[in-house]
Amino acid sequence: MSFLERIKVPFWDHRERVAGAEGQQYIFRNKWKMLAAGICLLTLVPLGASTLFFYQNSREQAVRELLQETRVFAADTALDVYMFLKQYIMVLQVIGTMYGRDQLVESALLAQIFASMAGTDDAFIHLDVLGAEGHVLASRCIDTHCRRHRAARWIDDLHEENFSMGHIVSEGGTRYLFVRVRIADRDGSFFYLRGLLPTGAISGFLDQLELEDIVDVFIVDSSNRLLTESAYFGASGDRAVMPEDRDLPTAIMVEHPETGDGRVLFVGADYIGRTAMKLGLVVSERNLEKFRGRIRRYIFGLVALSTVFLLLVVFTLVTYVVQKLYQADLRRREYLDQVARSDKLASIGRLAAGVAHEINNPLAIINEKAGLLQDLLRYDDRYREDERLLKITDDIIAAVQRAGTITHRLLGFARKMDTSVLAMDVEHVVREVVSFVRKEAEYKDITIAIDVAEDVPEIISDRGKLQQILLNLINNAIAAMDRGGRLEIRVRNIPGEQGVVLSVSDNGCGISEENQKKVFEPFFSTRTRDGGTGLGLAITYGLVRDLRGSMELESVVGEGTTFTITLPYEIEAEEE
Amino acid sequence: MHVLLVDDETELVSTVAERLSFRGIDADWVTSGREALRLIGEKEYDIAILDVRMPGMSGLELAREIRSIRPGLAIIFLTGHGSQADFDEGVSQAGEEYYLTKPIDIEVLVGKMKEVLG
Repeated sequence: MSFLERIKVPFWDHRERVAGAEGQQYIFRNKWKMLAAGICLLTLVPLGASTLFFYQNSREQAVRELLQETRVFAADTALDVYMFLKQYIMVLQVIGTMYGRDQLVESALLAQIFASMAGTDDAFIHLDVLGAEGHVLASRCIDTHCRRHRAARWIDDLHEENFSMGHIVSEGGTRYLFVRVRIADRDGSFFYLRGLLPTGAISGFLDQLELEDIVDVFIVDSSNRLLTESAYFGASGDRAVMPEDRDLPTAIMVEHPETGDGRVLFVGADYIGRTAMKLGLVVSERNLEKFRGRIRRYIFGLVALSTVFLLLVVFTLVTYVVQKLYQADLRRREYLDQVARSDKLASIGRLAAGVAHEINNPLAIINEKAGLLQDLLRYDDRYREDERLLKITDDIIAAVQRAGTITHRLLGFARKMDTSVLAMDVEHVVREVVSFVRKEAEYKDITIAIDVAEDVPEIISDRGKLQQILLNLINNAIAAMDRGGRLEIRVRNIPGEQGVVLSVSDNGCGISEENQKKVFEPFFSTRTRDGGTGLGLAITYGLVRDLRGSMELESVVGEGTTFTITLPYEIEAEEE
Repeated sequence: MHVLLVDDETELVSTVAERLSFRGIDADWVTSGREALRLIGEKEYDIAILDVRMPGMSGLELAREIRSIRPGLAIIFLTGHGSQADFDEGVSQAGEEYYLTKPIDIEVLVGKMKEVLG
């Protein structure tokens, strides 16, 4: 047995004829599918909608996270650059302290020191020894522009007690970095050492900082002009797109300066130490996708889990509910079958009782005649001794007694059909019976209206018999109507008549006047072709009489028929 | 012993009457309550044997009439076609205690008559 076979619920393979449809259908399976689809729609649509919402917002979330990361990168890198520049300050401090102003002013020593440092990319290209008032005492330069350098605008971005650093813009627009240290001389006075660095000196260091996530690192001055070259914003002197100074350290999302197709860059920035120079760095949009991917994976995982859980709950619940429906339907059918069986038994019982009554009369006469014959023989001398004749009459009487016993048994059987008498709500009985036939009515598209007056009291009667009466009348009415008919059941209280009146009306074919006289006779039927036995109304009539009631019939051919039953409020229980 | 038999079945009632006569019981028979009342007005009877179910006046109605004009007359009922139910429905309600079910055994009937008369 496969797994599916094992978990299959009993209603899954149940098929039956359905109102308004051709052939048999899996009605409970279809109900299950409809319910499951409906509830899935109700639960999964909101889930899908919220997923879509979060999915759409995943980009914003990713942007927020990436901006935060870029800001941290910028702050860290700015600190690295500051530390790098401080190395130069330390070099100048060592030189100044080691040699003192007087030795350094001697051009030979300064030239010697300068020469020893020259030759590398990150070496000073210009060294000055300055007096306490800032005037130049000695100067060495890698090229012939020393004078020009000195004439340039020195921008002290940072002026600590012992050192300062900043940048200059030379006549040609070339930008340099400088550091200056204040050195206490041996005689208690102090002087300054100042070194000029090409921006290239720091570029090498910045290149090393470009990692997988950071695609560009550069330094700008206070007006956002590049001091070092940038892959995205151009060469030294060009203006870079940077965040507002007041927000630093921070990061912003800017449009890609080259593509212009909506792609973006994440630019982070922070001040280098407490200078006006700023470090900028760029994180590419690729990282955004990385973040979004992570968020999407999280969302989809959650949605998949929720969907599986929801489907499990929905399928279990729907199966449970449909199974309950199926069981209720089975019980209803069983009950209907039971009513039909007891109706059949009652018919047989009544038939038997009728036959017994009819046969008993001639039996009694045969009995008396045979007895008389026996008396004649016994009291006549000629035959008194004729054993054979006497035996014949004895046999006749014995056979009559036997037949009598059989009729008594038949009557006893009919009496057992009588059931208990109890108080009951007529409307409840009517609705119960109607529920049995509703399917059949739906199949023929017949409307059933129940109209019970409010003052109808409970009656004390035989519930089973009343059910059979109503079932027979309603079944007859449904059989008499074509598609789209209307069946009306009315219950009224008639205090004057000391009883309750039930009427069952249809707008079917009606009964001709001639047939109206015969319908209550046994074996009269106009439906012999489709299984009518002709006993239905005869039995119904008998049942109504059993309940001490009366039944009337009004009918017009082509317009419809109304059966009216009057039942007393109370009947006494028959003794067994 | 003078007996009046009342039953709508002529064949039955006449035969029973004849059989009783063989047993020394003088029995008159009629087929309706009206005729029975007329005879009771004219003659003296010891026992009236009445069928419960009769057209027109039933055995129970007839019994009430008889009691009003002849309170001392003993009555035995023959219940409808041997059905105990008929007796339960009618005879017992009327407070009667003597009855036989059809088909009757003539000896049982004679025994019952003797019992009624003490």
